[in-house]
This record gives sequence, structure tokens and C-alpha cells, in this order.
Amino acid sequence: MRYFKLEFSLDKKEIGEYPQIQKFKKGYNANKQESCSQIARYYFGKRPDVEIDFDGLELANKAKLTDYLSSSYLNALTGLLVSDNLYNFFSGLQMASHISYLSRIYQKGDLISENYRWVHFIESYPEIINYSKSDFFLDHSEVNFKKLSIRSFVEYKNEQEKVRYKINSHRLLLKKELAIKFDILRIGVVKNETYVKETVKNEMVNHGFAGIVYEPADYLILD
Amino acid sequence: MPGRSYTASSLTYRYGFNGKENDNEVKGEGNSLDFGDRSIYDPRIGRFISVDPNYRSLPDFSPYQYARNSPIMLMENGQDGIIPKWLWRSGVLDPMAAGFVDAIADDVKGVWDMGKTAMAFSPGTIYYWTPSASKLRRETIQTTKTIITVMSNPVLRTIVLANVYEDVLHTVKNADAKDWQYASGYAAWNVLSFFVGVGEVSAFAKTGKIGVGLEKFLGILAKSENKVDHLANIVRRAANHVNKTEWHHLIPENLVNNSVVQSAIQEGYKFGDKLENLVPLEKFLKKNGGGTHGFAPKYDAQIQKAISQFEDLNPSYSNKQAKSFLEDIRGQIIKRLDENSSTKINELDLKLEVKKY
Repeated sequence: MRYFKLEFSLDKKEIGEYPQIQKFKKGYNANKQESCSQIARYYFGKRPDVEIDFDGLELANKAKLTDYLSSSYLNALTGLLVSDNLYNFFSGLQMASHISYLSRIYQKGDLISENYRWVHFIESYPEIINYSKSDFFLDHSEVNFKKLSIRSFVEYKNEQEKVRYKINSHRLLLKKELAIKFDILRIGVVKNETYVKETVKNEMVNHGFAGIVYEPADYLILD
Repeated sequence: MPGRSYTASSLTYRYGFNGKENDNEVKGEGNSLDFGDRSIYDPRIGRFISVDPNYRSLPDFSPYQYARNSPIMLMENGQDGIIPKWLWRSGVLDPMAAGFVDAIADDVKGVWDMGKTAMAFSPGTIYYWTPSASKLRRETIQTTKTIITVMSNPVLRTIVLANVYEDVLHTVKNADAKDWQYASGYAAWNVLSFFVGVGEVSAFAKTGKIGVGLEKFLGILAKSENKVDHLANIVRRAANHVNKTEWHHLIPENLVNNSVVQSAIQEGYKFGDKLENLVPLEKFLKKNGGGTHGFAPKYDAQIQKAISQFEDLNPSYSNKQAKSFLEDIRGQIIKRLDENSSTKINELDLKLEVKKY
């Protein structure tokens, strides 16, 4: 089974402008504690302790509204900004633990949609990885992409705390019995992006959800 | 009148032309003036009677010349060199104002220096990103403002030009090296703008026609070294460069609301600064496919991913760390731009690397 990574479309005809969300609506205080631009501070395993305010996302003047929206200030490693249509589609599938925020989208000061959601992932799933069968390396030229021998999550965690560079993998073995439970996969360690099963990807293509590119993630291998 | 000699006041008043002491014992009354270091001046021929100690730096002039052959506007002031008369008359000249003129001349020399200053303005060099280059840029800009003010006075401009003459020639002679093409163009553009005005240099850039001021300036250079074509080429190159370029935000403008970028800005990262986050790149032209700078979502996305990775590796980052991170990736971007100068920005693989701070 193949996995596909969800990426933002960069096609000008499809999105108009990148990132599609760049500013806040007039009057939105981006510096307040509950500002949505601070959402990345509530990373995996962290549930926001304040009600994050997503009423103020301003679509760039030339940008088009697509089902998956790119933003300059919402970190894609922590969540997804999606239309209600796409969110409803996801809701019918097995998805990583998350909370969603109703988001209002404005353009040139006018409200153009109140049916968007920020899907914020609040949990990581390190136990999915079969560490002893996977390959790991330090993702930086300063250490010549040094290979690492890691056999467990504890070893991974200790090593990641010690080193200055991200531990990455070109070949990540996933425990089949755990991985197949998720149609939409968020591991949250080593790889932080959002992946979908090939069958899900095909369905999404059939639905014609706009603003998404499906990038093969052949480094994810079911064990 | 011929044959008449009037002596009453000269017996008590010792000073003659330009306030210098008369030396009437040598050639008769009023015919010989003592200029100290510059020796004796003979007003009958408008020349000194001994060689100018600085004659090597003034190949266009006779070693016996007085005040660059402009005795109405200029005057010699001993060790302080030539100065405008109005400055002397103002009463603040000696010795302070003469020193001021020298200082300005030195500043112009500094701006024209093809070494460090030019490198400091050339984003393609590693030196550009060092703190000392940043300091030099700031100082040069401050100096430039002073120079522009001074250069708006035609008399001072003449004097300063005379003082930096040799340096200008030297630079033109040495502006061939490939690595310096951009820098020399930039310097030529800047310095010519000081001398003949931005308007005229810009007009030259657009039309290719050399205006009166530029022609005069180039003519002065041509007199002794015949380097007018060379300088004109440099200027033309600079002009083409300026005409076809636009400012590229290394960290994209559309990321200004990103919290990492905001943190770095709070720490002093100059997001909109032409010296820190902006570099000139050739505009992309749809009609002929030339140029490198245009709609670049892939470029922007790579930087945004790097920012996300920074947040991933540094979840509790400080403003200082955010600034260090942006400075790091800025350096990496510059390196890629340097290595792939003809690649379109949107097709550039930035290979950005992120670490913990």
C-alpha cells in the first residue's frame, strides 16, 4: 500500500496566489494570546488552553478559494486549513486525534466564507514506527547526513534531544497493524506531514478537491 | 600707472593676494608671495616658482599650477591644499574647513574604493553577509548622504573631484575583473550619480545618451588616460542592471505575518531593508523568457517549509533564535543564488537546512 503526502498546490491557475492566506482581516489583533498565528506554539500533544480565534483569515487579493488553503502564518506541520466539504469527507474516515476550529475567510475586507476549518492535530503516534527496521540520519550537511542506529522511540527521543539537527528517514517502516487503522496518517515524529492512503487519495481526486497536490511518499513502508 | 610707485600703505600692510605674506625683497613689490609649504607664488605669471609637492597626483596639471588653474574660484591654502574662496571668506576655513574638504575627498575615495566597499554592496559575495560589511554599508550610506549634500555645491564638487581624480582613474583601470562586474557597475553608478546627478545617470540608463554633465565628467577622465569608453561601458552595464532589475525579498514579503518572521523582526531583523533582506535580481520577461525574478510560489513554499521545520525543532524559540535562523537561511539562499545565477527563482532548489538554536 502506498501513501501520499498532502501538499499545497502551487499552480497559479488553480490557487491564484501563494500562499493564499497572507494577512489578517482589518482589526484582527495578531499579537493577542489567542491569535491563530500562535497556533504552532501548541504543538503535538499540546491542546490549546485558550480558545483560538480563527475569525479573521484574509485571502490574498488574487488568490482563489480552494478546498485546501495555504497560509503564511498557519504551520502546516500542526494542522490543515480545509473547506467544510473536505472536512466532512475526512470526518468519514479514520483520522488522527484532532480538534477543529471554525474559520471565517475574508477577501478585500468582505466575508467570503464561514465554512472553513482549521484541523489541529493534538496527538502523535510514535508507536507506529518500527525503529529497528527503519533507517535514520541527521538531516544536515554540517554532520554529513550522519547515519544513526536507533532501535526504539526512547532512543529516538534521547538522540533527538542531544543533537542540533532533525532526525530524518529515507526508509520508515510502519507497523502494519497500527498504521492501517488510519486513513489519514499523522505520525508526529520523524515525519510530521499529513499522509493519506492511496485509496483515499483516489477518492479525493474523484471528488475534485482543489488546492491539493498528492506527492508519493514511498519512504513510508508497511512492515 | 607705468613708472609710478605707491608705497605708503605697503610699508605697513604685509599681505597680498589671498591673504598671503608679500616677499617684496625678491622680485619687487607685490610680485612674490610666500605660500609656506607650496613655496613662492608669482602673481605676474599665475604660477608657483617651484614644483608642487603633490604633482604626481595631478597628472593633468602643470607641477607649477596654482589652484588648479582656477584662481577666481579656488585658492591654495598651504598644507591644506586647494579650497574654494567663499569658504575662506566665510572665516571658518582655516584650518577647520580645509580639513573638512579633505575629509569629504577621503569619503568619496572610500565610496569609490573597489575593495571592501564594493564587496559590501555586492550580495553575491560572502563578505556581504558579515557584520563588518553591514557596518560598512551603513557608514557608506551615511557618508553618501554627506557627499550628496556637499556635491550639490558646484565649487566643492570641483575640488573634491580634483582630489579623487587619481582614485577614479585607478578604479576604472582595475574594474575589469569578472568578479567585480556587478560591484564596479554599482560603484560607477553611485559615484557618477554624485558627480553628475542621479537624474542624468538615470537618463543615460534609459536612453543611452550621454548628457552634458556626464560628458564633461567622462571628458575630464579622457584627457589623461583615455578611459572614457571603459567607464562608459561600466556605466552602461550598471544602467542595464538597474533598468532590468527588481528587488527580491530573500525571506518573502508574503511571510511577513508569520510568527517566526515577526519574532525575528522584533529582534531587529530588517525585513524590508535593501541591505539585509533585499537583493536586486533580473526581472523575468514573459516575451523572451529572460530574467530570473517573477512569480515564485515554489521558492516561497521552500522557505515556508524551512520555517515550519524551525518551529518543529525549536518549539519554544526566542526572538533571538528566530533572527539567527532567518539570518542562517538567508545566507543559504544567497549561496544558492550565487551558484545558480541564471536559474529562475521559482526553479531554484534552495536545499535549506534547519537546526536547533
